[in-house]
Amino acid sequence: MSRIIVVTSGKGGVGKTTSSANLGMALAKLGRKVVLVDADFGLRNLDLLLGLENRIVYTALEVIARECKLDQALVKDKRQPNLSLLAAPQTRNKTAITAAHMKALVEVLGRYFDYVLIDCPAGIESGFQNAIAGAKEAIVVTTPEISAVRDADRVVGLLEANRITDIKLILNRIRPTMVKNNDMMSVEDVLDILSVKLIGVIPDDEQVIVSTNKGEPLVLSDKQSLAGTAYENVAKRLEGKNIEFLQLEAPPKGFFARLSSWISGNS
Amino acid sequence: MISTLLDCLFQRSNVPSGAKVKQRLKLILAHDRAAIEPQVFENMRHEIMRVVSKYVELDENTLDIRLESDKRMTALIANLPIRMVREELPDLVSLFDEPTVEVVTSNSSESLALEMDKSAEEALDAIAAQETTKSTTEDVSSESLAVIAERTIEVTSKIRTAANKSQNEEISDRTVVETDIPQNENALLDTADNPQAATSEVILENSVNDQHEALEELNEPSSDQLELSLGLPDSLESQEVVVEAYPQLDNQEQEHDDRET
Repeated sequence: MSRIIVVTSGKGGVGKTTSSANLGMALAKLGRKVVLVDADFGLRNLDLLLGLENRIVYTALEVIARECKLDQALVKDKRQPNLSLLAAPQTRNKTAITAAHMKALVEVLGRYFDYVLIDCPAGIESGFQNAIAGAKEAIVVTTPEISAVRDADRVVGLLEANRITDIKLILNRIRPTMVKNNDMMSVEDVLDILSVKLIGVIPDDEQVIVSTNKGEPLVLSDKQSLAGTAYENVAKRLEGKNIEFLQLEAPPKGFFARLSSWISGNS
Repeated sequence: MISTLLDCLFQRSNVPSGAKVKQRLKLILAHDRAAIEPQVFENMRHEIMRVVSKYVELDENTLDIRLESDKRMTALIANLPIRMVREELPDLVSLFDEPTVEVVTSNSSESLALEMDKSAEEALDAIAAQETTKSTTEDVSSESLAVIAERTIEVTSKIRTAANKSQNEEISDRTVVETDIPQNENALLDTADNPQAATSEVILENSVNDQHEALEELNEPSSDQLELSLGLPDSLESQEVVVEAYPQLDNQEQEHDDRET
């Protein structure tokens, strides 16, 4: 029984593609056969984050137009053979890709893979509708910012309207220091507002940008990073394991920080 | 480090934004999830109060009707303190006359949204219909008026040449074509000589004048659409008159000519 999961957010730039890439890689590392489907037609980026941009010959468009076989369009990751990528076309051809096409495509992929992860484009227009067409579950990515949470709420409503009720939340870019100073919504605050089951809390981590530069997902790196560990935990939770959430704590204050907080009177 | 220190020294009164953002989010989401326009909500509130007030007297100062969303479910919360129960209950007939059903359906935000969509569509349709009628009337009027004007000029010139011809044959030194305004006088004078041609010419002159007026009316930036469309049938009628009159005249002229030759 394969799982078809759409990774979506509504708002752009909150970490959908980063989450898709890391989650796909983490699941593959756990021995699952995973295919990542980039549904962001015209603005594909998943190939860059995976470092597979030079190996793409065919995309989902050619498969739908019957110009190539589905197998030809799947790019296998050499570092992790359990992981494949079906890239999105970069030139937005007028050959309209419909929700029915996408549904058929992911259903066929579901017969051969344990996980089909669909990287959804930002927004709630046709691209979103296409991306969620074949999905059975959803992972909503958001950050603790007002606009991202609002859009996430809207997306959750739309997913439910489209009969996708198995929805889980990844809260990305948490900054423990800011949360501690009550200058950022906490995990509890966001959960209280969205009322969606939490599956991961990813701390804001500079290593995310470093890994993007290299085209190497965090979970693949030898050097352990906090965000990488968090993504590995998400993968394990998806697999049904009960993993405790990382205790994200503000780093201990330095001398000047302690001095300034003593002066401002909030210890 | 020093800047942090200074920040802390001078912005001590800064309120943490975390609490504020949560409050703002809750408010905006309650609105987003309900998807009810403030005006529509206000209407609903009034209607609910009107219906309830039929039976009981409400304390208007303390009543509270609002939308609340919790755990992805939006509910209409109403707290209506009752002052006293009315003794005279309204009769059932008048109760059924009132659109009380609407209140029930208004509770579902979806039906409200549908209603709003429908009315918006209707409004848009009306605008579109208005625009098309406007453009068609304008098209018809300008085109037909141009045709009318052209035809009338043609007709008049033909008649004039015909009249000219007949007159030239009788009195060679009179030139009718050049005399435009005193034409009527001439025509009247001519009546004895050439009654048919003269009278028809007078009629045509009038119709041409009518059309000129109509054209002028069109060129004016008329604010009232109705006026413009009312002006049209007149000119169309006059066109008909001209068209009908023309062959008749021609024949008569022809006959006249034949007779004279």
